[in-house]
Amino acid sequence: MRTLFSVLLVAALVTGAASAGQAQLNVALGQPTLVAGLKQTTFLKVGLTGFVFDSATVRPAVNVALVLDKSGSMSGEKIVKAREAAIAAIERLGPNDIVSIITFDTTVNVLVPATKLTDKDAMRAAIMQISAGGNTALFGGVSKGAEEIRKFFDKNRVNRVILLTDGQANVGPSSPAEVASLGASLKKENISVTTLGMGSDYNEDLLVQLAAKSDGNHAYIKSPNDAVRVFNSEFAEVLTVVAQEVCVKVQCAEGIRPVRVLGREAEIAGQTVYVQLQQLYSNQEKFLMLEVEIPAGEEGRNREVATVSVNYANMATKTTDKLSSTVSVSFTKSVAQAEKNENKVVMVDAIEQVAVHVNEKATALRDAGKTEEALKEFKENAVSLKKAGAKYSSSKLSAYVLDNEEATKNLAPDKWGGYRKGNLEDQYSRSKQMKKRSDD
Amino acid sequence: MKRRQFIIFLLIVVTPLALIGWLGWRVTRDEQDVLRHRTAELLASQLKENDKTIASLLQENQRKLTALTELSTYDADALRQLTRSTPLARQVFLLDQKGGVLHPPVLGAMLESERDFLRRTRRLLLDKDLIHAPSGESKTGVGSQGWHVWYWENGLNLIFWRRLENGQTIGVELEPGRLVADIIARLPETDPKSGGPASSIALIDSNGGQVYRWGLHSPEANELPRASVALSAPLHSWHLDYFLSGAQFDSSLQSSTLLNLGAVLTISAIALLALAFYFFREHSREALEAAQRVNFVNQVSHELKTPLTNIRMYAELLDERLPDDSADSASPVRRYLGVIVSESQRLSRLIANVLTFAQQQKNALSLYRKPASADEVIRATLEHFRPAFESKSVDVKLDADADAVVQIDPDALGQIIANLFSNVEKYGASGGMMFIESRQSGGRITIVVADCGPGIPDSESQRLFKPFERLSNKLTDGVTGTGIGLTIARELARLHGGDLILEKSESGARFKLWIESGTPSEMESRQATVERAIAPATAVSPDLNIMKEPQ
Repeated sequence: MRTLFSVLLVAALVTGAASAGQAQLNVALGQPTLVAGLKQTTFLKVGLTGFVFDSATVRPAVNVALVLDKSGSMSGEKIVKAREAAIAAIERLGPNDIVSIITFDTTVNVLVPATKLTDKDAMRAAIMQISAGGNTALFGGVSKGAEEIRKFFDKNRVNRVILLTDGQANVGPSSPAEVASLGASLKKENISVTTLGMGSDYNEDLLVQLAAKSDGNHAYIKSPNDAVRVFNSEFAEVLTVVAQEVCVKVQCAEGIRPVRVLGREAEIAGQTVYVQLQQLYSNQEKFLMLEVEIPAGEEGRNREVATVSVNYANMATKTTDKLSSTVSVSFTKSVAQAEKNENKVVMVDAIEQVAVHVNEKATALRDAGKTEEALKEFKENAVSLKKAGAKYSSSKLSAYVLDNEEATKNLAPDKWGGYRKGNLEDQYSRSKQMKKRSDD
Repeated sequence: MKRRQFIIFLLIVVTPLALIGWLGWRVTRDEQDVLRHRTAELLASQLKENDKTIASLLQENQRKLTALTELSTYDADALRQLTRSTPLARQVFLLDQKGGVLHPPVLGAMLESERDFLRRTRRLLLDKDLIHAPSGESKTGVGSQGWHVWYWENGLNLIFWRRLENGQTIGVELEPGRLVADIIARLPETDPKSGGPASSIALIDSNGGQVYRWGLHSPEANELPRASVALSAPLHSWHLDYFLSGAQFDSSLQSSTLLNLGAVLTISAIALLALAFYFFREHSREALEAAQRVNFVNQVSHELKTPLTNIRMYAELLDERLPDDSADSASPVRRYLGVIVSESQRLSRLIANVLTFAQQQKNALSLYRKPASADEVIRATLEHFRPAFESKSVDVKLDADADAVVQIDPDALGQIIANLFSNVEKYGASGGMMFIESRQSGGRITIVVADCGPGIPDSESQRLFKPFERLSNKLTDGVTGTGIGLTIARELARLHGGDLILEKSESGARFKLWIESGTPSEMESRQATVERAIAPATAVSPDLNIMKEPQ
């Protein structure tokens, strides 16, 4: 661990002089010391933390397509707040940023084609025109939004579609799978889609899929009054993107088997694990949690577990940066020694991701109508979280206990629908390490 | 008369109106058909433009994929990197010459997504469709590459395939959502400010589901598209539908048509009414004028009659009082007197004819029967004509055998015979001969008057008895000629229950007249009801006998 840090430190010092900064790569095992003579699994965490722009650096320009639902269900308070939120978001942007506004109801209208934000008044006037009525052609809206992004596509900009909707997509392709297919494709183009669901009628699976596949953000706007806050925090994040096209490759050593990646999409082929992140935000850690199977080892021996290599587009220097790191495991006879050496931070993160996974399973059970089994899963999850929280004295895990206990009280048909939206948002934000919205 | 006018009015106004209306309706209906057809064609051509847009997107994709699939090596890493970096691609795969799967590495370490790919394409890969498809076959391919359409899950999926030089086949399964999104991105948006008729175009997939729609018109669930065009291959199971706001389209078509038709009908109606009114006015004016003329002639004739009668009477009285010594017919005084008498008789006949004709026109012609002998009437009439015939050297031969006294109107009979004699005098005198034959059998009296003049051609025989046109200005002119003589003669004969006809003869004209003599009782009744407006103007008129010599 220490050597690793020093290597990174040196790297940071060397490059730091020339550039605004580099992302921090932090590779660590949950249990760097394993009990010898036993085949076991442990967690490998690859953490990436975005650097902070220094004051001299101009933040990267953004290229945003606001895709706003103006279907009939948005009428009243919702559309008013949505307009307010959009205008508030515009206020944060500058003349180098590119904005387009797409509205959709039964059909799609490119209200403001992609343009540099030099005339905020015109943009505000356009937003104020939006009024609600009609159905929800969500897929068409996103398609047109992405096309507007492409008009000024530049890898040195933050390219993002921000979708606000309150209803079920009911015109054009409208299944989560179809939308996910589009999301996956957009991710390859370095366009991510942030999905904001408003009220209690939107299809959260569809929005979560779209955000997940394109590695955007997802948030649940329970009350229209929250719209401005959520928009603000989304734009605050968009403006702090420091790295894009983050490719993480984990090459496991001979004999080490990658089991699964928790919370993120990953390609696992043999010994190689491949994960792509759309972006890193300033001073915010994103990680991938890989479960690895390590064969039995002899006491006192060190074994290389994996080599991690990362490359990403540095938004400050406009260069492609490369980072790499190797992590090893040692074996001991003493169980106490192994436990003592545990990396608490990694363990807590890993336990959280496992708990999210269990929560997802329980949610799926409840969706399938198996309420009893779901209840059992939620309860067990809460119990094991409580135990781990005590063991690692983690307030994060203890707080998650409460969330799972809350779930057990919301399984009734009348409560589940509303609860589910918040729960999916929570799962999403935990597995993708989004900034907590309430923090803003 | 009212009724007839009304029917004529109907014919003049309503018939052409109905005709114009019907024709107009036909024309406008045809026009509508043409318009509808043209509209459909126009709409279809618009749809084809959109199809071209989509087709060009696919061609572009094909070019892109052709370039992208040109790799230096075709190993797992390279192919995975291709899948990873190509937004269009859901999965890249490689087949050997026999269609066996080289990538994804079935026997090696596979990604979860690759396993999914093999699961969903098992059928396709087992059937080796991509290998057996001869290059350039139905699959819109150029050379050894092309599209393969494959239905799975949500419907149509596209695979781009390309034969490599070593006989292997590289394939790219397109990201279905991406394909649709790209198509949508190329197609127009809905501009709420756009003018024109409310229309919309919908892209429909192979399941009949709407993929995308643009335009301001929201079609009803069961609304039929005005035009529909299938997309070009490989998306040929999809189609574009053009919807046009039905109410708007039809009403604009209908209302303009109806408006046109209505305008035409209204204008025609006004024109026809004006025309009909004009003709009606002309007709009534002329009828009134004609009536006034007839009236005038009538009155003049009446006014002429009395002085003429006096002239005749005194001329005859003078003739009687001439001393017998001057009985020499060669004496100029007697000769002059004869001319006066014969000319005034002639004028009397003329006036009688006019007045009779006027009566006939009023349908007020009637008989005044009294006991009389037909032969007597013939002889009396002949006596009047004697000077005229003599001066024209017409030899008269009378074969009279109808001297029984029966109930007839001697004045009417005299007028008939006078008209026949007058005819001979005018047209048949050149023959120098006139035969008169009278017979009586039962109640019927038959009289034949024939001459040896030029005769009358058969073709004229019918027109002979027709009067000149009643409403024409010739009415007054005709009186001076003989235009109404035969008409009146025939009318009077028919009133007597007989007739007057022109018989065929070898030379000259031969008229045959017959009348029925009425019974006394019939005569009584007639006399009671009939009021004669005109006194007979013949010499044998009893009125003459009553006339007193003026003081």
